[in-house]
Amino acid sequence: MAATLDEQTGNLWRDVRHDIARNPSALTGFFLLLSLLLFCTFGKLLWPDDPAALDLTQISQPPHLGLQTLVIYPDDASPVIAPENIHALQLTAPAHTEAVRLAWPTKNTMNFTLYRHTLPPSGLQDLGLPLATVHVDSTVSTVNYIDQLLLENRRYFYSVVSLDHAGKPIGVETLAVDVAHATPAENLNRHDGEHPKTIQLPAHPFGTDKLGRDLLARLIEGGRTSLFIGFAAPMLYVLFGALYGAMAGYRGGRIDTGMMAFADFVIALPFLLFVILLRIAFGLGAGDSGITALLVALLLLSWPNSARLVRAQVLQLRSMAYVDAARLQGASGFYIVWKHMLPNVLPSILVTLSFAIPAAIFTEAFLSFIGLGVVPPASSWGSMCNEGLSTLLTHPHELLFPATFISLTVLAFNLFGDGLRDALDVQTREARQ
Amino acid sequence: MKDIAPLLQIENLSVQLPTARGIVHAVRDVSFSIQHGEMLALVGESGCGKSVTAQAITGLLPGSAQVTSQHATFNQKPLFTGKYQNGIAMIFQNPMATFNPVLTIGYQIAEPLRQLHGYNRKDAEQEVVRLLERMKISDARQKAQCYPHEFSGGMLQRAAIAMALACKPQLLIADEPTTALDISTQHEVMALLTELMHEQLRAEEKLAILFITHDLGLVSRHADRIAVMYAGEIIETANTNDVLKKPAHPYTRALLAALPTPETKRLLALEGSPPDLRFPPAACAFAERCSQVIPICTQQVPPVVATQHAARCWLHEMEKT
Amino acid sequence: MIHYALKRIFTGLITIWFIASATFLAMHMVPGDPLADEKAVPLEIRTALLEYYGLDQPLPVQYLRFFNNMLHGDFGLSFTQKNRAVNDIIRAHFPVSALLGCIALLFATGGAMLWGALAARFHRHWPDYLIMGVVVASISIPGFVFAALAQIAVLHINQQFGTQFPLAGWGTVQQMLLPALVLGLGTMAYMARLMRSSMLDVQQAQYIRTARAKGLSSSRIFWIHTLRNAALPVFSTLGPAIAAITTGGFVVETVFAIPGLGRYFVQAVQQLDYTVIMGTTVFYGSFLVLMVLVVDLLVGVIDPRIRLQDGR
Repeated sequence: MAATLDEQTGNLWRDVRHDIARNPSALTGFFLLLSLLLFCTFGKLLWPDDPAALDLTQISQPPHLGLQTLVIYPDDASPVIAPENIHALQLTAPAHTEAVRLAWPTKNTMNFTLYRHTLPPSGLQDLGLPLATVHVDSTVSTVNYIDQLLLENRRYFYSVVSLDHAGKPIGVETLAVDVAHATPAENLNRHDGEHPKTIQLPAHPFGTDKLGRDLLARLIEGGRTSLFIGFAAPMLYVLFGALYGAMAGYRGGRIDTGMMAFADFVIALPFLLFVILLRIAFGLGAGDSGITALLVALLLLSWPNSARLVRAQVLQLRSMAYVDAARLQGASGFYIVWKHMLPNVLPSILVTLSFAIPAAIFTEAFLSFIGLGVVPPASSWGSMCNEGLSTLLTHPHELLFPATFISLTVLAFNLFGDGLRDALDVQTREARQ
Repeated sequence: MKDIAPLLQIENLSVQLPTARGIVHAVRDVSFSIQHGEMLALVGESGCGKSVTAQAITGLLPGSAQVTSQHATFNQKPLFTGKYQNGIAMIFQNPMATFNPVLTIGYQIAEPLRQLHGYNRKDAEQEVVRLLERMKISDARQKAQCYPHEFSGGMLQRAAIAMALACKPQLLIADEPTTALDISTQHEVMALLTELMHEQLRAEEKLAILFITHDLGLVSRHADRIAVMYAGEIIETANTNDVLKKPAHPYTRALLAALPTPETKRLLALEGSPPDLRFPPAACAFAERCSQVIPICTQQVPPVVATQHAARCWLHEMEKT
Repeated sequence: MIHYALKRIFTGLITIWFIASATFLAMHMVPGDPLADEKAVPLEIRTALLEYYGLDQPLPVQYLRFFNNMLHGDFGLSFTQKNRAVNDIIRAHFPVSALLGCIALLFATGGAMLWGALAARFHRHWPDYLIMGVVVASISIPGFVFAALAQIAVLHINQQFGTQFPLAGWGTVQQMLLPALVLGLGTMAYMARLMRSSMLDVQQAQYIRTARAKGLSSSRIFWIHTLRNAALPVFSTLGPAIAAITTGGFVVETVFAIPGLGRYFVQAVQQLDYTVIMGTTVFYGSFLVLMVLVVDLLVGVIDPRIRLQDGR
C-alpha cells in the first residue's frame, strides 16, 4: 500500500510547503512565530534598555511613549487658593502624584469622611473604606486635606461625605481630579545646577512593573528564556524518544516489549511532582532558579510519547514490501533505517515537535508562575506573570503583557502544527492510495 | 414473469457528486428494472458508478449529491423521496466495518426488528438466533452475544446478511459482498445467497437481489440477468446466458476475454483507462479503447432501446436495422 | 479482562512504590541534614522528627521505617505549622480540591461533548469555525491567565453594576463555579477538539451507513451509534485530564485563595516544608496513578475492543 510513499517523500516536502502556503491559519501561525523569534533575538538591538534596571520614578506605569513629569523641589510652594473663596469641594493647587490638595467648606458640619475611587461612585452605599476621617471644630470654615497616599497619574474621584453628630451621612460631594505625574527633585539625581519645571521621562511602550523595570526589555529578555526552554527541551527529548522508539520497533520481540513497558512506566509518573522532587534533590530553595530542574524533569519524563509514536510507525514500516525487498538485496540495517524509515517517520516527528514546544513553554510558564521555575531578577514570561499577579487588580498590564506573549507563542505553534499535520496527513494519504 | 410490474424500476437515473476537484458525473442516464425474486448482477470495473447507483437507491449518498431520475419506483411506490425505503436492505463490501464495534452482533441484528417491526425483546432474540442459524452460524445463541472483532470475516459477512434479512426486505442490494473475503469464503457466501433466494421463493416471500461486483465470473453461475456498467452508463443488459454466449458490446466482450478459462494461456488485458467522469464524453464513452471503433462512435452517443438484450453500441444498433 | 486488570494494578503499584522511593531519596539527597539547615524549625518538632524518622539510623533502616509509616497512612508532622500532622492537612484540605476538581471535570467533559458534537454537526459551517476558534484560543491561553482574567472581569462587573460577586474564597456555590469553570476550560478545549475529530471519523464510518441502510431513525443513529463510539477516545483521555485538572488546581486554588490541598502543596514547596511535600507528593502520586488506572479499566468495560487485548 505504501510502496510509492517512499519514492514520494522527495515531493512530499514541496507539497507540504504548498499546502501550508494555502492554509491561512497555518500561515498566520508561521509568520507569528517568525516575528516572535525576531522580537526575542533582535529586540535587544532596537530596545537596549536594561531589563533589570529599577526606575523608581516610574513604578507600575501603564504603557506610554515618553512622559512629562513635574519636578517637585523641596522648597516649592504651590499656589494656594484663599480659604474664604472655597464654596465646594475643590483643589487648592494643581494635582500631581506627590500631593493632591483638597479643600471644602464645613457648612455647619464637623465630621467628614473622605473617599477616593477610580470610577465614579454610584451612591452612598458602595463607597467602601474611607481614605480619611476628618473632625474639625466649629471655628473652622474650610477643611484642607492633602492626599499623598500612593498616587498615580490618572483620574480619581474624591467624595466627601458630611456626617451628623450621630455619624450618619447627610450629604455627599464628588470631585473628579486629573492627577499629573510628578517626581521629587532628589530622585532625579541631577547635578547640572539647572532647575527645570518639567522634564521628559524615558518611554516605556509596555509600561513598567512594580519595581519600575521596563516591561518591554523584560519581555525580550524573558522571551529568550521561555523560548530557549521551549525549543531546547523538546528537541532533545523528542530526538531521544524517536531513537528509543525506532530501536524498540526495529529490534522487535522481547527487547521491544521490555523497552515499551519501561516507557509506559515512565509515562505514568506525575510530572510536576518530579520537578519538585528534583528541585529538592538539587538543594534548591524557594528563591533559587529552577531552570535546570525543569529541563532535567522535561528530559527524563517527556520522551515516551514520541517513542510510542515512532515505534508504532517503525513496526508498520518494517513489514512493508519495499523494506523486505531492500533487506533481500542485502541492504544494511543502518541503510534501511536511514533511507526507508527515517523519511517516513520524519513528518510525524516534526508534528510531535510542533506540539511539544508549546507544551514545554506552557510548563515553564506554569512552574514559574507558582514560583518553581525562573525567579527574579532573571525573567521569563511565566515569572513575569507571577510577579504581575500581585498587582493584577490595580495594574493588570503587568500580567496581561507576558500572558499575551505566552498565549501568542502557543497559539502560533498550535496553528502552524495543525496546518503541518493536516498537510502531512493529506500528502501521506494521497501517496498511499 | 414479464406481465407483473417489476419490483424495482429505474429510468434515466443520473447522479452528480460534487468533489473538491469538480463535479463528477458518476451515474449517467441509467435505466434498469428488477423483477420479484430475480437476481440482477451489476458488473463493471471500479469507479464505473455501480456502487453509487446502489447508494442512490438506498438513499445513502451524501446530501450534496444530485440525484435525478425520470421515473423510479419500488413496489410501484416512488423512490428517492429522501426517506428510508421499507423493503430494501443492503450488505457492504467490508464486513469488518459493517458492524458497530462496541455493540454485540445480536443487538445490531435485532435493531431493525425492534425499531421497525415492533418485536419485543424476547421475540427479537429468538428471531436473531433463527436468522443466524439460517446463515449456518453454529452456536447462534452464544455468537449473538459476541462483539464484531470476535468474528472472522466470512462469519461477519454471514451475520451481515442476517442483519439485512432482519429488515425483512424484498430487495437485497449486495455491494461487492465477497470482494474482501478469500476465495473459498467467497463461494460459501455466494452459495448462501442463492440458497436464500430459492428458500424465499418457495416460502412465497420472493427476495430479489441486486448483486454488484467487478467479477463477471463470480456471478455467471448465479445471476438471472446481468447489466454491464462502464463510465457511469449501463452499456449492456441481458439474460446471463445471452451476455456470456453472445455479448453485444465490445466492452463486455473484452471483459469476457479477460476471464481466465481452462483454455486461456494468457490473460487479455484491455488497454487504456476509462474517461474522466468530471468531463464525460458526448459520444460513446468506450470509443477510445474500442478495437472496432467507427467514425460515428466519436461523434454521437449511441441510443439504447429497451429490449430483452439491449446494448449501448453503434455496431449493435446497425446490426438490428 | 481480569488478567488485564491485574496487570494494570500491578504496574500501578510499582509506580506508586517508585514515586514514594524517589520522594524518599530526594529528601535525603538534600545537602546535609534536611533538618539541620532549617533554623526555623522549632525544637520540639525537630526532636519529634528526628525520633520519627530516626535520622541517626542508617539509610536502609530509615527507608524501611518510612515505608512502614506510609503503609499505615502516617506522613509525620508539618515543619512550619506546629503540631499539625500531614495526615490532618491532607484530610482537611483534599476534599475541597476534590470537589473543585469534580465540578471542573464534569464541566470539561460535558462541555467538550456538547461543543465537539456541535462543531462536527456543522462541519465547515460558521458554528464549527466559531467553536474551533474559541477552542484553539483556549488551548493557547495558560490556566493562570484565565484565572487572572476571570478575577479582573468579576472586579469590573462588581464596579460597573454594583454587584457583590465574590472574587475569591470558598464555601458558596458562586465561589465554586467560577474557579471550576476556569480550571476546566483548558481540558474542555482539548477534549472538545478530540470529540470533534472523533465525531467526524465516526460519521464517515461504514457502520453508520449500515445503520442508515437498516432504516434506523436519525436520533437513534446519533445517540446509540455515533455519540457512543465518538465519546470513547474522549473517555480514554480522562486519566490525563484528571492529572491536568489536579495540577491546574494548584494554580487556581492559589489565585482564588481556595483552601485546597493544592494551595498548601505550593506553599509547602515554597517554604520547604519537607514532611508536607513528602506526604502530599506520595498522596498525589498515588491518587493520580489510581485515577488513571480506574479510568483505563472503565474504558475497558465500555469498549469491548480493549477486552480483546486480554488475550495477548
